[in-house]
Amino acid sequence: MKVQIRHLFTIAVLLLTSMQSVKADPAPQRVVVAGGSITEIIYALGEQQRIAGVDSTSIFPLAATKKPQIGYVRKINVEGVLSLNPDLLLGEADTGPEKVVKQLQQTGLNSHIFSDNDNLAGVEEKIAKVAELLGVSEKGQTLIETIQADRQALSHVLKQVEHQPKVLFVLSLRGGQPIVAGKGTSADEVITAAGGINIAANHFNNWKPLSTEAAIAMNPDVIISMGRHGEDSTPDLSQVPHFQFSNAVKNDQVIVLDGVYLLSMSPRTPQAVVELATLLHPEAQLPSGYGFRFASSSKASESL
Amino acid sequence: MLALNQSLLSPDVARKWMLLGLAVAVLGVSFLALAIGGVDISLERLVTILFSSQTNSLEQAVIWQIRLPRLVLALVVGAGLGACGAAMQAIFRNPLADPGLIGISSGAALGAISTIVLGSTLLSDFSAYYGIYAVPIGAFLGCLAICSIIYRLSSQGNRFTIVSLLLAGIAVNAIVGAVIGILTLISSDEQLRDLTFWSMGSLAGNSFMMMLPSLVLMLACCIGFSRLAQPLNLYLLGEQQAKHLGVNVVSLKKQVFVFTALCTGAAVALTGIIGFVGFIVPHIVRLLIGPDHRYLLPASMLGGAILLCLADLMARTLILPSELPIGLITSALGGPFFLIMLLKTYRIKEL
Repeated sequence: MKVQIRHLFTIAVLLLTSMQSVKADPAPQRVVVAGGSITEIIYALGEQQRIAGVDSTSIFPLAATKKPQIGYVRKINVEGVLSLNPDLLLGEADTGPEKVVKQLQQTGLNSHIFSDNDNLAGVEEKIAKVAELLGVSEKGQTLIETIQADRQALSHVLKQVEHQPKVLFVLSLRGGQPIVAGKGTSADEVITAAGGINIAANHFNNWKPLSTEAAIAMNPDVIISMGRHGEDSTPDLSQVPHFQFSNAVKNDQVIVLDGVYLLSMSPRTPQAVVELATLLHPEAQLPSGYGFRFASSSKASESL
Repeated sequence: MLALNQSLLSPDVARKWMLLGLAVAVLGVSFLALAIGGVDISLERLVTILFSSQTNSLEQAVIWQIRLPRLVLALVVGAGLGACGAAMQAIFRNPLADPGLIGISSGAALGAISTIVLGSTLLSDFSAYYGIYAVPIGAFLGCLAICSIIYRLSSQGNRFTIVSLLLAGIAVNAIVGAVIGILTLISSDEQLRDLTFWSMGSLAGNSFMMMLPSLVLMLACCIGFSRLAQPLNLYLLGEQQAKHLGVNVVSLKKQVFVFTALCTGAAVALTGIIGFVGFIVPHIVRLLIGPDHRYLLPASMLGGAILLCLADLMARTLILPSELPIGLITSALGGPFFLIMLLKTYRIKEL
């Protein structure tokens, strides 16, 4: 009897190992990711078990932060990445330093660094590319189809819009001075897509500190501020002299949104833009049957 | 503070042993640096990889393309910074002097930051044309430019006094600081992050190809410094005294200035700003073996190599798979050690 059990065990082990070797396909199984939106895409595809390490911008979903950390996306290091024994490195366009990436490629590591910076139009393309690299193109197609619902909802909302509010996006209050999104920022793109006017875009490019008097002159109708992981900074913003007398504060139109949700250009972003559009245009109706599917803050990330 | 017979170990024999000990320590630390890292490589494998040229494995790539260039860079940059610090402190006859005084850090920072911020716009194709070499080239050019401005300002009428050098350095550093501030203001988010990391220093990612020009320059300067040991010793007696003893003081100062500018410039171009090594290492060495430059200069080179090598080892292993900026480590490691040394010498002097 004992002998038989041992035989059975051996056979089972043999079967298991042989099955594994049959199943082994060329698709990468240990992926190191540099860039939050790529991590988010892989999670949305349900392939997170293949992630061997992430960078420090990968903070959604919360579970991703438990993976081994390779550091900030612009400052990854050769041996750290290699020590995770990866078979693929996926990186955002700003993965760096450049010479480190080059060294990594010279060691023979497979890698794909996305060449363009993120934008709203490129979300589907990026999902398709990541899915293809992981060998799960059909899953990618399914995910892209779910995003089409957001695109349709957005155009449905925008069709009903007549008035475009003047919007100001505040990244943070550093030393009492708001850092604001100018032209060419992800926030600018999102605001424009949601049917608002980014008034700071007329004045400067990139993220800049805003002077008190310029802020008063701009007089935004809506202020969007980043809630860092659910922390509400609204009281601060309505207190600073920059905005005290603005329409936004008077009409209680200071909106707090999770920065990663809105700006990461990940699968959640099209939905976030729809949500922003409904906030900017409260009179507009969402199409019937449309519902928000993704979590809107980093805290509630388990629902993805 | 820089008297000639002031040290923990005074007799010449002890100093020679000290040098030998430091050299052995360099070898030991180098071996450690090659053996330890993110990718596990056993000692036997390390020896086989080092002494045979077959196999094209990942381990071999890690040793030859990643760890060895980094080790060599750490050793040479450490040695260079140590020697520059020692020479600067001698020339200023002040233990608080460091290469930053003659505009190296600020000039290099200006060059690097201009390249990062303006490299693809105002300077048209500079960044695109030179690729990964752009920032090092920018940093080196910036360093040379600012150093030569300070040199010109302080050497009017062939006088080149230390006071005028110091004042010119302070003024030009302040102006450069303002320009860097303006560049920071107009930089984008990514550029800002690039330049923040640049100013914290890192030895990562350099191949032998990339390092070669800098290495040659730094080694040449180290040799140049070594030949100045005797004149520097006489200079410590005082400028007039040195003149009477046959030292061409002006030329000595100029040589130290040029070697320091070239050597630190070449180092900073590759690694970003690694503060503290050039300041602390000569100090510690001087406390140990006294200010005789025949020993101080080589010992500072060896000490700098050891400190930077250890610091880099810690930088790349402490928070694997990520990496710490090396500037943080050199300060955190060197600072307390330096304080202990200082307190110890004071105690001995009181006895």
